[in-house]
Amino acid sequence: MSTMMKIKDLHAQIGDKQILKGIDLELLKGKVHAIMGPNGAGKSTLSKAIVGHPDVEVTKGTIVYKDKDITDWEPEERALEGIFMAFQHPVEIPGVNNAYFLRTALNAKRKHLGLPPLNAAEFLRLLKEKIKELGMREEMIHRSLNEGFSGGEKKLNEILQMEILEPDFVILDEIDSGLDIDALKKVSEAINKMRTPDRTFMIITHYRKILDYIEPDFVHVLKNGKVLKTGGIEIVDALEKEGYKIFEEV
Amino acid sequence: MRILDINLEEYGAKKALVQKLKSMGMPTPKTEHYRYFGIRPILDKEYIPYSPPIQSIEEADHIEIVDGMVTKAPKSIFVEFLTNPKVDDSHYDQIYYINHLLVDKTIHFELEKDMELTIVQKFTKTGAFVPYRIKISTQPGINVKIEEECIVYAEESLYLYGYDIDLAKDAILQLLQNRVTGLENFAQIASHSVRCNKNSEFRLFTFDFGVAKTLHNYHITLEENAATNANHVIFGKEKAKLGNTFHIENRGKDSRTHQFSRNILKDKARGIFDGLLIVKNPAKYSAIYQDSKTILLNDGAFMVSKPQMEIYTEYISEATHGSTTGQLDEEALFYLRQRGIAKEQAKEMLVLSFLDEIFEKLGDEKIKKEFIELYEERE
Ligand SMILES: Nc1ncnc2c1ncn2[C@@H]1O[C@H](COP(=O)(O)OP(=O)(O)O)[C@@H](O)[C@H]1O
Ligand SMILES: [Mg+2]
Repeated sequence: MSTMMKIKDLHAQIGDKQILKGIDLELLKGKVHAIMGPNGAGKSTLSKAIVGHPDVEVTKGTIVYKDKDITDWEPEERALEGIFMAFQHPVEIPGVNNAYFLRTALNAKRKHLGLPPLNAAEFLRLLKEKIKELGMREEMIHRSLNEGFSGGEKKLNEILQMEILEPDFVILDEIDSGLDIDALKKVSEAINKMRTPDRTFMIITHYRKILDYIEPDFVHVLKNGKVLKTGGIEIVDALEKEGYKIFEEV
Repeated sequence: MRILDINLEEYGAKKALVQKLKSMGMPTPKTEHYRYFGIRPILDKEYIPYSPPIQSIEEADHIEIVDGMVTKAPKSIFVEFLTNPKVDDSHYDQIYYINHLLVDKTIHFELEKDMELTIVQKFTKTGAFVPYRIKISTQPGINVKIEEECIVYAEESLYLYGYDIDLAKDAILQLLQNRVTGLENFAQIASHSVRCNKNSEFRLFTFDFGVAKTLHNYHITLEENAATNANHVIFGKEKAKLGNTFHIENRGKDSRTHQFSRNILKDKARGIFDGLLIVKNPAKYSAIYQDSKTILLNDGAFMVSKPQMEIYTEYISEATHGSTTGQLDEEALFYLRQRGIAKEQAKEMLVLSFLDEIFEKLGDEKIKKEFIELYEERE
């Protein structure tokens, strides 16, 4: 089994606050890794470190992706190499049209891959197809990016972007939060459809519900900026019964 | 000559103007609407005076004004020169009166029917001081769109001009002022007076893009049920000082003012939006709205934003104002970059989205393209 990403002894801070305190993780090609942990554990900070968010300063350790050390790469370079994050809180950007934004992003990626850009008509065909599959309203194409979208619509829009950009490494940061059961099923279905032997998922959650729909290959428990435990789905059951404290170091 | 050396005693024939100026005094760096502009170096500077000579007007599909003189005009427009034009008797800007004092022949365009008109202004005299005035009056009930473009070659010069606009009742005038200035040492102080008679509507769009030093002072008055909708974009770079100041007076009942300003500043540029909306006592049931937002693209850029209101009636249907200044939204920028969009392009998308409302309202792609060109120019 080949490695997609290897995170070694990662230390990171936001402002003066040390948040990640030595993370070691290996994420495998074609696998789904669930990251669980209580609020404030550092899950979002870890995903921000992976995508290169400017708020997160890596002070020690490395992130190696597809055998390249990306620890200091610009966010857009990481994205073009196939790293995608579905945001826990997608931002609203008034005045930037949803379709225009997505086409710009897709064509940036195509350029990176040495492919010709899609014109507006070609892109619209692709977009409409995906929107239909996801059961989204077609008028969302013409709206501003995430502006006035409900919580569920924002999450679906993240999934839509994932489908269009076809990344290799997908981080879903609490994609399940704020979704009702129908929306959760829809989102899970879309994610399952994207599971391929070449794509890696990192699903961050603190509820087990989504893991009933998307079966993870590995579960990692994160607390206080460290990985406490790595295992299979059985960890989720133990967490369910006992809570996070069972994994605390003694 | 220097502006400060102007001797009022020499203008005995224009008694009312002299009187007015004596009571107001000359502008100083402490004068409210010049406070942030840096007027002193301009008042102090030696210029070669230039009085535009009247010449024959060539027929064309647009109006051309070269260094303060009409050189071209469409046949459908009545052009004349006024020696004693009626002057706004309550303008807040001293330079409005100085300007009128120094001008012997005011250009007058009389607009009689619906039309779309382009005015091209060329500024070509280097080192010169060029005063002139343009008066525009309309027939009642007509609908006119005017687009003003500026072509600037003049360096180290000062152009002192302005429009006196008399909007007859029920008329609609849209004035688009497109001021793109590529020369750092070009200076312009313009003082405008717009009188909106009953039921008329004045739509103003100003675009100040570039690196020059320009200040435009607008005195707008609204009679009963008249409306003004004023929209302003400043995009300043390098050492630009680009500003607009306003006194907009709602004088008649049911009059409405809606003012919207969006500013983007980079390098060491300074922008000024200083707008005072006044509701006079008779202007019952009027509505005023004012909103100014600024994005500073780097440290060192600076915006003076002063939305203000004075209300002298108890019965007002709306009075809202607000002002914000900040950086580009970092989270939004990151979101776009996470999707693979390069930083500079992502910034541009956000800047354009910030101006989107005004471009949408105007419905003119040309100005948007000009903005993008200027924005993308890199040192
Ligand atoms: N922008 C920030 N500034 C300061 N502290 C932050 C910021 N973001 C997160 N933190 C802190 O970092 C810790 C980890 O947060 P986070 O990674 O969001 O946790 P999780 O996603 O696991 O709930 C928390 O204690 C949180 O308060
Ligand atoms: Mg989180």
